[in-house]
Amino acid sequence: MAVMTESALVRRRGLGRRFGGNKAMTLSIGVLTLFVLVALFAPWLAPHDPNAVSLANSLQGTSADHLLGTDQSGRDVLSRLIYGARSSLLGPLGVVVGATLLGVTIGVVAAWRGGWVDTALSRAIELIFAFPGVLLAILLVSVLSAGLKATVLALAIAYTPYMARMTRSAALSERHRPYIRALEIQGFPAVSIIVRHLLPNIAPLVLAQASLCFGYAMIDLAGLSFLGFGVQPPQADWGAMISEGQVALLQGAPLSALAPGVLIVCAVVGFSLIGEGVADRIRRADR
Amino acid sequence: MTAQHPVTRVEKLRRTYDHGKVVAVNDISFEVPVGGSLGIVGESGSGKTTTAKLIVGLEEPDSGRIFFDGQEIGTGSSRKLRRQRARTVQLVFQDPYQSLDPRQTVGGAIDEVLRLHTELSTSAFAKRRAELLEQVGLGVREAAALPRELSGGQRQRVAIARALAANPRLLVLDEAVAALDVSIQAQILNLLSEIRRETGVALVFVSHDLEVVRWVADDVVVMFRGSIIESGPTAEVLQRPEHPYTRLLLSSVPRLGWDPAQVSQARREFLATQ
Ligand SMILES: Nc1ncnc2c1ncn2[C@@H]1O[C@H](COP(=O)(O)OP(=O)(O)OP(=O)(O)O)[C@@H](O)[C@H]1O
Ligand SMILES: [Mg+2]
Repeated sequence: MAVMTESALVRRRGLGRRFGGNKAMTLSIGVLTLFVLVALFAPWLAPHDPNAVSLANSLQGTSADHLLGTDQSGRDVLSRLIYGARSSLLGPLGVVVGATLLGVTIGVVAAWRGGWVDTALSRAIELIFAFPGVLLAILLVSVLSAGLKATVLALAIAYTPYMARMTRSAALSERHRPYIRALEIQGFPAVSIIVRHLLPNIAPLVLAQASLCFGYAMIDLAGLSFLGFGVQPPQADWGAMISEGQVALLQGAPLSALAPGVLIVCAVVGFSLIGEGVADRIRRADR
Repeated sequence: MTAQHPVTRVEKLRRTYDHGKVVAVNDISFEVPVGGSLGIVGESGSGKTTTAKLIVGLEEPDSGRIFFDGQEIGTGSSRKLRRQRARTVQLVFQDPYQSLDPRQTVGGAIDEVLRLHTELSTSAFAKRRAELLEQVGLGVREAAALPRELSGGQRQRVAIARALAANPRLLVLDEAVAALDVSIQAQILNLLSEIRRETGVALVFVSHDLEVVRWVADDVVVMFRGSIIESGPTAEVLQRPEHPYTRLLLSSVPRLGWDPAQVSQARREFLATQ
């Protein structure tokens, strides 16, 4: 899983190219919107209580009552998937929002001030970058306590370098464009130039990067849940469900582990496609 | 107001690059009278743009002094100083597209400068905005447009309107019409003469095109390799050039019976004497 963080942005190209650009993006937006709606309306959509244990019904196959069968503890898999959408989407969202706020601030300040400020911030970013995100998460969990909050916080820090680096280089090239220089010699305050001109102009790039990070944060969080550091039982979560489904997998009832896996893959691919789609559009607009 | 002072006077301005290896501007001095217009001509690389940047404060000189209305402008780059300077002198770039925020409407760009440099009431603000747009011949449609939706000539009008919004005493234009076709060039040049007559703003007009300078500038300085080699009233300098380089520049202007080979030959001969 730690490898994921390393390779996250190197893999940018590829997927988006293979499927026709626009259709893939529309489909992704559609699928992800569906996921969000499911998460929002989980109590109305779920046919059963996701945490209702019924050992007598353990590991049942699909039936009219349990469309996707039941897990080890006899809980309805479909209901757990529906409720699990909440933590599975909120977790990465927290990571990405945190990393974006932190990373964009660091990147913009470094690019704008330059000199020793840039050097110091860049060194700090490299330091965090050198530290595997998952290791950081495990460390933080041992200090705080296991759970979604600690892992999200740790991954937000671990993902900050990706946002900061991208922002810094985008802001740096923007900063030296004549229109920014023109605003500077007018005597506008730096903050107003940054907020009103620089940020809006690099926002699409930031958005593309954040979208890519979302997918990878999802994988990392699922991995941490799988290892038992993230979401704690009995709360439903796709990553945790895969972990809990291991035994079921061996006993020939693969659905309870497979279904959340498929959803994670769909979400990750969806976010990557959106990220690449936005990045592609920027490249085309720049030409 | 100290009417006897020129709006701008520069004294022995010098600017080098690459640790002194490239002397872009070499101890130049000149002045622009209130409401006057000065042309700066010279071939590519002669230091025209650097001079323009020094005047508006985009570059710091290595040595030399710049006066506005008889007062030396403070060195340093605090925001207050920059703002003060911007209310005296404004630059119009060669490529207006580069100097406008691609995501900001034309009207927004003008409003922003107005808000920074003036303290107008809401009604006076709207009036001034309309006045500026009218002055450069832009309509309501253009005001709502983004820079990329406008033609080159329209963008240059926007850049001029935005520069005028600060109510400067001096407008520096760096190759402001070089990228435009001839008829649009004429329109912009007429516009500038008109604005100068109406508002009394002084102009520094940087150009490699002698015909353009002849049209707008009362006085002209000729630059060669960072130095001023000839200066005087435009008509005089262009009629009876004293320096061989000025004569060379004049003979380089394409016209009937013009022979590029002959010009290059003359240029080589001139450079050999330097
Ligand atoms: N930022 C810089 N770094 C290094 N050298 C520079 C820089 N800016 C200008 N120069 C050099 O200074 C000299 C004068 O350049 P400048 O841009 O002022 O010429 P110019 O007269 O405006 O030419 P053009 O008509 O081509 O625009 C050139 O030799 C140029 O290479
Ligand atoms: Mg130039």
